[in-house]
Amino acid sequence: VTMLDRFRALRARMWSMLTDARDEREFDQELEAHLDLAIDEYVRRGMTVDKARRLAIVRLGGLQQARETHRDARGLSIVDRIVQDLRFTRRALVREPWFTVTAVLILAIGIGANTAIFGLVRAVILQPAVRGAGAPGVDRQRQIGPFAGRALGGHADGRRVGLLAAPFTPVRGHYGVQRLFCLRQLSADRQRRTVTARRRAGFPQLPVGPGCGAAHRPLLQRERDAAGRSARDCPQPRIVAASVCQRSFGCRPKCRHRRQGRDCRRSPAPFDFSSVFSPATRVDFLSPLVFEEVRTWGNTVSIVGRLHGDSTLASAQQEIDALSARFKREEKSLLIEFEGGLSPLSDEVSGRTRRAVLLLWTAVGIVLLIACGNLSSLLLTRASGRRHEFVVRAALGATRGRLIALLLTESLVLAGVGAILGIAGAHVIFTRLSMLENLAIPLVQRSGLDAFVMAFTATVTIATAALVGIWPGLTASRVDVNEALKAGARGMSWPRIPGGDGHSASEGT
Amino acid sequence: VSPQKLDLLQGTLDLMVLRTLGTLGPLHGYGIARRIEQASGDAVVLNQGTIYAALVRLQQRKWISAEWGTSELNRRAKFYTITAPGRRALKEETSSWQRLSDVMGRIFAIRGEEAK
Repeated sequence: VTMLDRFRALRARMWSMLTDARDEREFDQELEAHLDLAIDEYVRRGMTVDKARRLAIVRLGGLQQARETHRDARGLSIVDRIVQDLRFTRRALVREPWFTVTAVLILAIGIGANTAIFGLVRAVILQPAVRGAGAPGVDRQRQIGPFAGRALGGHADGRRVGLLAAPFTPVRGHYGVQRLFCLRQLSADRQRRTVTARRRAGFPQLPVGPGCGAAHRPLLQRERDAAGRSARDCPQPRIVAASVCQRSFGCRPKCRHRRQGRDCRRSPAPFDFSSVFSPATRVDFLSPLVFEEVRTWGNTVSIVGRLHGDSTLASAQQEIDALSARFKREEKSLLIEFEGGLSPLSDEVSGRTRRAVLLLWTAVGIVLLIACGNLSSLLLTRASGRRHEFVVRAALGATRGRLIALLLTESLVLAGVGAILGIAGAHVIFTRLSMLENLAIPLVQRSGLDAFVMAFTATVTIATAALVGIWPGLTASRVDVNEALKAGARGMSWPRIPGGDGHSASEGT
Repeated sequence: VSPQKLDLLQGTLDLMVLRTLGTLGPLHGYGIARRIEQASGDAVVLNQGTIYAALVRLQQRKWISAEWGTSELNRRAKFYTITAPGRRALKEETSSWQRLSDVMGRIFAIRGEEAK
């Protein structure tokens, strides 16, 4: 038998699942034809029709047995068994609505909470702080977070930021690193600006370059002085995401290779832009920094950079320390102590929330385990009430594995329905979270239901079903048919049947 | 089954059915069962229901095809016919069984000589 033959057989068996009723009818006709042919032969040998029919059925091995052998050969018996168990489970659960509702709700809360927390864990901890940072050529560990914001104070200018860039390649200053990743809710009246301090717009070390159009630099001060224009008079080039244009201003931007294109013709956007982000970019809006426009107190700029190949965080820190000492020597009016602290970008963005999120995840996991334990006890109690049913099943030939499979199917159905409700609940939570723009947990807005989270939920559901069902299954399936029947017989009173000998009664099942 | 009757080895029934169809042409399930019993000199008494499981397996591999027709006694029955892939498979399986049978024969012959 070749692989092709095996494949053909498997395909035929799967196809047969769809044509089962028709195949069953056709086989019944074939069995009738078989019996007719056999009866004809036996009658020719001198038997009566009744005797011939009995013999034909005996030689066939029994009609029902023949049907079952045929069905096993025709279809996938394991699928048949699963379908059978599912049907039985449905009937059993519908018969006990209160138990079903309670169990499903417990599991829905447990699985839903785990799904929601895992979505958060994935967004805050498992995913890189910068999307695409794991791409070839970008070493996530070498990215460093904002380090010069507070220290530069009112003395930020292009030269100093440029000096700070020395240990990195390349470096960009910007406002609010968290906002860089969370600008989903940008609207016309709530523009949040992410600014660059260098000559070219864009963050070459982050995956936020312009998808089309040109990334122009802002005019330098000397160029503006030469043109006799103030910074305010020179609209700065900005890069905007096409989706933002469409969502906020109802227009689809067209890229133009000119500096100040006003491309939203039907409904003019309240800003000029010259480039459009590629569709995959998660940043909504990017605009170069003009130092004259920057407030001159407090945190001025943050800087994101990537270490040179041969630099370490410690060596970069040494360079920053040397620079700070130099700034202090050069600029006596510095009021604030310069402290350029370096840290990995992921620590900067979500470092403080990591422990809390992990703690929450552990707590939710423990709650689910407790729920599993309670539900398992509930199922065990219920299974002990069904002892008689299991005895009958075992007496009819059901193996222990078959009985365990039946109880596991039950817990899997409960966990599955619970998971569906839980996922719906988690989806609501994620939707609400993405709308809470001012939530203090960084990156929380990007949590959601993706394939990874769904795979986690599926794993949790199966594990939950196994935890809930395996103990009752192992306990309730330990059935000694002889003992159970003897015990049943001892406790049974035989009804007296008028005129009968008392032996025709049987235990009702 | 009496001591004189043979238990069929796993997989032999399919080959018997294929061989019967290959040599005798289209037959219905009952006909196949009777021919096998007759050909074995009634050494094999089949549980005739198992014939239909074998027929399903052979159909799934496309080694035989089935069609409803009328028997010689004017009874409606499903007739099975061996297909070209079935003939190829029969040839291979027959050769395989022949080799196995030869090997077993030789081994038994050696033991027979030792016993003397």
